[in-house]
Amino acid sequence: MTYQAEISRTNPTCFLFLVDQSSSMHDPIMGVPGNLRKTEVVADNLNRILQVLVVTASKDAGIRRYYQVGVIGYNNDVNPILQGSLVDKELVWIDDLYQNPIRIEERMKKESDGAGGVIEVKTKFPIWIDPVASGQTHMCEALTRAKNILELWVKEYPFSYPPTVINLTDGEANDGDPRPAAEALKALATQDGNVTLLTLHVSSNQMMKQTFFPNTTEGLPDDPSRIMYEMSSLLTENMIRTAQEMHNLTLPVGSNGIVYNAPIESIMYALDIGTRPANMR
Amino acid sequence: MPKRGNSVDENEDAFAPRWKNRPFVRRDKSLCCAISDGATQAAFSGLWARLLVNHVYHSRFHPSIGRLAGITDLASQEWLNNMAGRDLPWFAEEKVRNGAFATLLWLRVTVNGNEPGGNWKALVIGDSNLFQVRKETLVGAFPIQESTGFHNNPILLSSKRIKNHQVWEQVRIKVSTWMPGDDFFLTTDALAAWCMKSWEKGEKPNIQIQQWFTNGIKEDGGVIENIRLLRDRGELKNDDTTLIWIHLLGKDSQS
Repeated sequence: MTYQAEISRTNPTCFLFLVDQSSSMHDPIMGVPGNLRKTEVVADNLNRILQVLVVTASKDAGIRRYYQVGVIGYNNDVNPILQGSLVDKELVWIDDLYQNPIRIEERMKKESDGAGGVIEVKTKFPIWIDPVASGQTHMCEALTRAKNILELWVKEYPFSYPPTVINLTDGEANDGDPRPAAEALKALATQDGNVTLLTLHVSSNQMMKQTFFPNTTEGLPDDPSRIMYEMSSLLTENMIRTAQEMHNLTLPVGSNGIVYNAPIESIMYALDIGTRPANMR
Repeated sequence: MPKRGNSVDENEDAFAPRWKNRPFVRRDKSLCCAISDGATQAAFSGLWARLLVNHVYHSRFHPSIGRLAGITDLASQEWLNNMAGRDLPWFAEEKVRNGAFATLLWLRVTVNGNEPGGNWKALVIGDSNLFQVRKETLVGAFPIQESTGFHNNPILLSSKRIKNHQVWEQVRIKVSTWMPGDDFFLTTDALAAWCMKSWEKGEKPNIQIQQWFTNGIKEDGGVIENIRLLRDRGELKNDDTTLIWIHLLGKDSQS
């Protein structure tokens, strides 16, 4: 059985985010004037999910090295985009990530009061990624860079829960057909299974139908969406279970790891589903 | 015993009494003990589990929901005071606001006048389990009676009172009797599931466990080595493991 390995300090796992930073990411999400820009939505949600990864790796007052994390930005260039003392690092340990945000903001957060109500609490919100949008969409190069990074990783951690790659983009690759590079990436594996590649397509058009982890190409609106479908892995059982338990979403077995034309909320859910570490106890 | 890969300090199970420091059998010949399994994903659950079992042990009460509520309040206040004294990093603040969580298995065994045996009463929240064995045969498992009953989402007792409102409905209590020669095994979920599966296959895990103890705790063939072997073979989930074994000789014996 695959995707069953326990995530631990001896056998950590890896989350690698590929972030489209092309010029079209400057446009408002869903194409609605006045909305947040797509790059802002992606950066904000990515910072949130990195924070969640820090919290889930924490135990009491310390952080355990359960994951390595990487964030690769792509436009005309493809480079790691963590900053400060993490600059140029393709992968960092989760405790090093915690130690090195760009800054920490204070935000109000809604939390359950445990009695069915909601309260607002002031919390610290670390920032690791700032929005950037300029240039083309060199997605093929980004996927190849991811493959090169993880090729070494799976050799170093052959018994680990396999890496998860999440590609956040609003459009098509400008540097060729991304499917071969995606296949090469997904072919990498540990003894517990293959690398999982999820594609989160950020909406540019509110009139276009949203597709959330479909199990068929029927209903996908165009060729770019069908290409993204083919690029993406099937959701693992853990991810399907997370969708049900955390977000009350019932996804059939065979669901594909693509969310197309995603509004803000769907990006949040999809990132949560893709990164919830189910095999820690 | 901590899960493989964790240190002893990182063990989030707790039990009482820790017999080197406290009497197991009281002057009235009754016996009180407890085990608790702290939730890994929550903050400072090991501390919460220890506070619960210590308060249970020192309470001198028979298990009841009312007594449990009082004990929980005391333990909760102590947990909150402990948190208030810490300078917590941001990632711990949210977890601490959510509180700690743990199972609890509380057992009290009493003698019954001049009868050779006596009564017992157990209170459980969650999936820590009690097994009663007589003449090498399982006579009862409580509260979980099938191996399929062990899963990853048991009901847990929270260090935040407001989160326990629906827990009281889930408390399980059982009253029964014991005879001289009976064995009780109190275990946290990983070992409980293994025991249950073994009995379902017609095996006698109680005999195996007794043999482990006969060989010693750390010695070859002893408890620790056998737990490690079971984990290596995938027969025992890699999780913090706690076991109390009580062998009842009767009211006139020294034990």
